[in-house]
Parts: sequence; C-alpha cells; structure tokens
Amino acid sequence: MVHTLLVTFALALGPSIQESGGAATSSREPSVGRFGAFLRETSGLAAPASVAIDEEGRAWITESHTGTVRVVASDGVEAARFVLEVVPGLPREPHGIAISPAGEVFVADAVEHAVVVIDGSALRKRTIGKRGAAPGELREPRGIAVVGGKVFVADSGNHRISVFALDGKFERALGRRGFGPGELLAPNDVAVDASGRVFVADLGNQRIVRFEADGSFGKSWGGLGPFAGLFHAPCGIAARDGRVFVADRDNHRIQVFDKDGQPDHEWGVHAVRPREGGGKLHYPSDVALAPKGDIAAVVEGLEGRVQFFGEAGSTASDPPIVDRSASAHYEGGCDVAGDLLAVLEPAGPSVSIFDLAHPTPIEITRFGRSGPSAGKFLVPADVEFDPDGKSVWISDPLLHRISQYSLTRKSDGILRFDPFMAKFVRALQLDELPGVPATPWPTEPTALEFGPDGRMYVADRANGRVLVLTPEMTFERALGSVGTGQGKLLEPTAIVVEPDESARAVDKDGRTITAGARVRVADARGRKIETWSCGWEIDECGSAASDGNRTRNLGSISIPGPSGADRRPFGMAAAGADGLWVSLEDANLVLRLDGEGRITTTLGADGVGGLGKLQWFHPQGLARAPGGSIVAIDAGNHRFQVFDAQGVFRTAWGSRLFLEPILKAK
Amino acid sequence: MSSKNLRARIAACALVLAGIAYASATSRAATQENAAAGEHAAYKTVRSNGGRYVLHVTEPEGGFVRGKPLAFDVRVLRADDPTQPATVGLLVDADMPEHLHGTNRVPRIERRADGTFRVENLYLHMPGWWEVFLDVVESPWTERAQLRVEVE
Repeated sequence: MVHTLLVTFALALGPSIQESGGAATSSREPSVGRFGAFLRETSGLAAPASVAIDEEGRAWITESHTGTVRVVASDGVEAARFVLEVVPGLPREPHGIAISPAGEVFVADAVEHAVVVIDGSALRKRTIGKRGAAPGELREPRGIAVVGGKVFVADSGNHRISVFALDGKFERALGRRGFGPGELLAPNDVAVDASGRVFVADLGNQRIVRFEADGSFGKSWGGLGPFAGLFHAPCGIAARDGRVFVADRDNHRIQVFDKDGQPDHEWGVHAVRPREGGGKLHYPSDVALAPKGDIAAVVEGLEGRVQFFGEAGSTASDPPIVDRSASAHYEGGCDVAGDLLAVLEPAGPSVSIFDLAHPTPIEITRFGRSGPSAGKFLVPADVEFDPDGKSVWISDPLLHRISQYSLTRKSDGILRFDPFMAKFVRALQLDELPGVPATPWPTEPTALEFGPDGRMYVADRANGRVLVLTPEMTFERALGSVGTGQGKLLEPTAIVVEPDESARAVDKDGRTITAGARVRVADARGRKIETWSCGWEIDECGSAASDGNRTRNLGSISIPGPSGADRRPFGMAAAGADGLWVSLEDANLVLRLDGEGRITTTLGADGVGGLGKLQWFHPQGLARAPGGSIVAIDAGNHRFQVFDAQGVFRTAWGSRLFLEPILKAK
Repeated sequence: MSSKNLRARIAACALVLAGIAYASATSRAATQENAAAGEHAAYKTVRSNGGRYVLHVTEPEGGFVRGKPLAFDVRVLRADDPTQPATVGLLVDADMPEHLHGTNRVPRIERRADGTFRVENLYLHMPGWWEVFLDVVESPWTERAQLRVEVE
C-alpha cells in the first residue's frame, strides 16, 4: 500500500505553472544571457537530488534521504514540506521532479522504481511505471521532464529514456545500454526543448546525447576531462531557448552549450573551503531554470543546498575562471591489510594505496584509468584486499565485474611513490560465472568482502543479493533477494563476514572447527542491517565444503532516527565481540553497535556536519586495521580519520583546509 | 659410516634426483611450449599475470619503435597444457604508467585458422616506457599479460 504523508502544507498551486523539463520550461521562452551572478541559497537540506521552479518562482526540491519534497518561495521562505512514504517508516527516495501545466507534480522514486504523481494537496493521484526491465517498466528512475503532454524519465537502471503519456501509458524508449552512438550508460537526467529535441545527461559515458523529436539519434558531445566541452559526471540537464545547461558535478561547474554542443559559457568556482557557498559550487548535481529564464537553480547534493543564480551581465560579476586546484577526494568502500590501506579516488577513477606505518600515512601508489576495457573502471564502488594482502579486488557496478590487481612492494626499503607497484591481473564478469542465477538485470557489484574462510562475498545492488564465491572463485550460493522484508535487500553497500561460532564441525583429525560464517549486510535504502548464517559441510577429506541448504537468515537490525524513519547504514567494520562499527552517511555519525544492535558508542553530532576530531560530513567506508582501530573515510570533508577500538581519536589526514580544525586543536 | 651420515647422503641424493626430475619436466614443458610456438620465433615469451597462460610474441619488423604502426603475432597457450593454442580471445592495448595515458590508435586483431593472432596498428606515439597489454579473454575471465618496452 502506498502512503503519502503530508507533514506540512501551506500553498495552493496556481494554474499558471508551465511545462517543465528537469527545469520548468516556459512557452514564452524569453532570451537569457550569461549566468553566474549569485542571488541566494537554501541550505540544510537532506541530500537534495533535484529541483524544479514553478511560474511563481517557487523551488520544488526533492530530498532523497528523507523522502521529502520541500517547496521554497522566491524570498527563501519555506512554503511547504511533504514526506512521501512507501510504507510507514520507509520513506521514498525521490530524485527527479517536474511540474505539469495542470499543476501535477511528478516525482521519480528509487524505492518503488516508479514516478509518483501527486496533486497540489500532496495526495498521490497515480503511479507511472513499476520496477522491471520490460518496456514501460523502470529501474532507478532519476531525472524527469514533462513537456508536450509527455513524461520523459531517465530510466537509469535500464540505461534508456522511457517516454509516457501524462496518464502513464508507455509510448516508447530512447537509447539502450552501450557506449556507441545513441546508446546510454546510467542516464541521470533528461530535458526537452521547445522543438521536441531530447537531451540526455549520459552520466556513465561522460557525455550529452541528443535525440531528435522523432526519437532518432541526433548527436552527442563530451568525454571525460576538465576543459570546456568535457565533463566529469554530467548529472543534471536543462534545455531552454536553444541552449543546454549541464550540471558538471565533479568539475564543480555549470556548462552551457548551444543545441549542437558548442560551448556558450560556464560558471562556477570550486568551493575549496569547508561548506563554502555564496556562489561557489561543490558537486553540483542538478540545474533547473525558472519559467522566465532569469534564474537558474543549482542543486548541490553533498552540501545539502540549492543555490540560485541570475544573469551575470557584463559587469565585474562575470563568471570567473574555474579554480581546479582541487585536493583529492575519497569515496565508497576501503580496506586495510597490514600496513596498507586501499581506497577509491572517484575523480580518476583510480585506486590509491596508503602506507599506514607513518604518523601521517603516505600514498605509495595510484592506479586505474577511466574506461570500459579490461583493467579500467567507470564507477568503482569498493576495494578489498585478498586474504594474503598481496592483491586487491575492485568492484565496478556499471561494468558488471570485479577486477584484481597485484601489489608488489619495492624491497630496497626506500620510501617512494611507485607507479609500477600495481599490476592488473584479471577481471571476472560475474554473470558469465557458471551457476550464478539468472536475474532481470546483470549483476551490479558494490560491496566486496573476503570471509575468514577465503570465500568472497559480493553485493549485487541491481538484484538485492549477495553472491558467495569459493576460494577458487567459483559460484557457491546467493543470499537474499530484492525487496523490503526480512532477508531482502534494496541497496547493499557494505558487508562484514566473521566466523559463525555457533556452526561447529569435526575435521578429519577429530578437531572441532568453525564451519560457518556470519554475514552482515548494510542495506542503505532498506535502512537496516541484514544477517545470514552460512554453514559448510565437512566432506570426506575433512575440508569445509559448501551446503546451500545451511544458509539461514538470522533477521535484521535497524537504527531508529529522530524523525521516525530508520537510519541509512552505509559503511561497516567489525568491532569485536559481535559488535559493529556503522557509518550513517546522512546523519554524519559513526556508531558502535553491540551484538544485539544497541548503540554503545556515538561519534559525531547527530545530523550536524563538523570538522573537529571525530566529527563527520558524509562518512562512508570503514575498515578495521590490525589492533582493532578503524580507518574511516570522512568523504564530505575530503579526509580520513582513525580511531581506536574504544572510539578514541588517533589521527587524521587529507585535504589541508579540512584538517585545520583538528591540527589547531592539537 | 654412521646411520646418521647415511640418512643424510640418501636425502641429498633424493634432492638431486628430484631436482633433475623437476628440471627435466620444466625442460619438457618449455620444449612443448616452443613446439607449440612452431615457426613463430618468439621475440618474447610472457606468462600472464595470473599465471594461467603463456604467450609467445613475435617482434615487429624493426622492433617496438615510436611513431610507426606495429604488427606482430601472438600465440596463446595454457600454462598447464602448452601443447596447442588455447581457444581464447585476445585484446591488445598500450599504456604509459608514468604519464597516465594510453595510445591514441585502436589496434586491429585477427585470429588465424591456426589459432594464432595477428596484431596490427599498435602505435606508440611518444618516447618513453610503455606497457603493451595482451588481455586473454576466456569467459568469465579476462587475464592480462604485459610487455614492458622502451622506445626512443
């Protein structure tokens, strides 16, 4: 049953709202000049994903981590706020938003994998699409455009644009998964101009793709890079007045093109100081234009805000040159083996290896390149040392594979950066592995974990499961299925595997051994930590052998939040004695849970991003180092923090400006 | 001779015999590999990074030089059965790790009836240290072998 909960409501939608395309698109289409003059900002948002501006200048903002649609008037005052839920306690994850001429609000929801249409009273009127891969079905819908009586949906998980009539009837799809002309890879947003041309932010291919009004492929432009006309994560798009506006997220700018991809102008200065705004940009993830074309709204998901810009004119407020003196960023998962820490640098994308045996850890190699061919990455999600610590595995959900790199340290004892330290060994296409159950979507590996038994556990976000591979890398069994109930997963982001002390067997020498593993999986979107016991039989030779019948789900634990909705766990690391360290990216917290799921240690201030010791801004991956200390990626602060098993601060390193508060405290 | 010394001598002899047997087996394997290489006089023999394959690579005419489309042959053998070419696919690329970029042309690869591969149009456009990647594709795995070459 679908619930729509109205928390506050204080507006009446007028009939004057024009068709919108990711941005509102007015039929008047007055000309606009160069943008870049900062006007105002709305901050304190919970992971804002998208924005649309109505005829009255109100900004409709989706907040993906709280299931909220917030309406902010042109003077910056909040006019309304809705919380959209799938079931009580499970908020939707709204992404794209658009408003039709009739005042209907279209919201793309990544929990139900559908577009929810609500009226001005925030009541659900109908749902467009459902989870699936068939024509008319959706997976991970992102940006939306409502133009000319049609609803265009960036059907990210199916790698296409799905087009519906306003009543929800499916009409056609544009594009398909691939790297060639007219093909798409995880399209994140869509916009339609007054002539019916469809522009797509083809995120995975780092380009913009244009389809003509008849649905045929028109052209594409872009590629990975920092210069004008190139992109680094084109996430949001708006089309108006013969121009195309692109939120070029990891280049921290908005680029403007003509309809054929010729650069017109750009604006945005990389915000290099913590929480810096006032016109400077930090990971802009969506852009929308007001119906009059005089205001551009820019969403910054990481910073939890929307900034509004006006025309720059020809005064001193012209857009300055983008400052690209960015420091390193680290995201996703991480792992520790001995003195080595492996982390992902999404800007490469690449993998960095740090030597932890120094007061300030030192980066000793970096490897990987962007691309779909063997040994390269598109969007790496996790990195994991193999049990002997001599190689690392990297998951890449968009390429459906895991890759192994060997690491060879120089033996001369001289400390130096070594570009030849890592060597690509091999890659495994998971869906080609014999025995892997067929699913509607190819496996999209995210979290990786080696168990104490040498088995590899691979989270599959597309199909809500964990694949278990033997030490010989053959398929053994799968845990879980997609859904919201017990034993089901929506978005697995981390795995912790420990021996299951309750599973005992006798080996061939008569010794009692542990013959099972306890597998705990963080499900960010499902807002819980799911636990399985995987037992093994002991074969005639006394070695542990798999037995799929001995897989048992042991239930789940949730972490209640102050709003009534459960928290979103992201990273995890074992804390000993059945305990777990868990990072809550959206709450800026790192918690220690005991074996029963009770919170025993809290690091950080709930919901408040901070820069001091053991304060966080979007903490992500956690890794347990020898001795029980924890390395944590403080992703939004571009730094690492290390604390011991008792939660006492040990050290931090990373970008200088984000370290200053800690350094000064010393 | 004490029984202790006798045991030591027997052990030493066993070690020598084992060594001879190992050397013989290794030599036999190498001979098999060379036989499988046939007329493809290998410029280099490389083992894949995962150890599963042995690749014989012929030298391009004039060697690995800068600014010229390079052509060479590759024969892929299984390390555990080096008697005949493995039925696999091959992808070829090149990279300069110190400069963080690759090559600017796409090599052409053709599989011949005898199981060998003909590689053409590999182009090393800059002087310096290159890694030539030979990726062996055998579902579900792709495993890399690589040559390090320096061009002036």
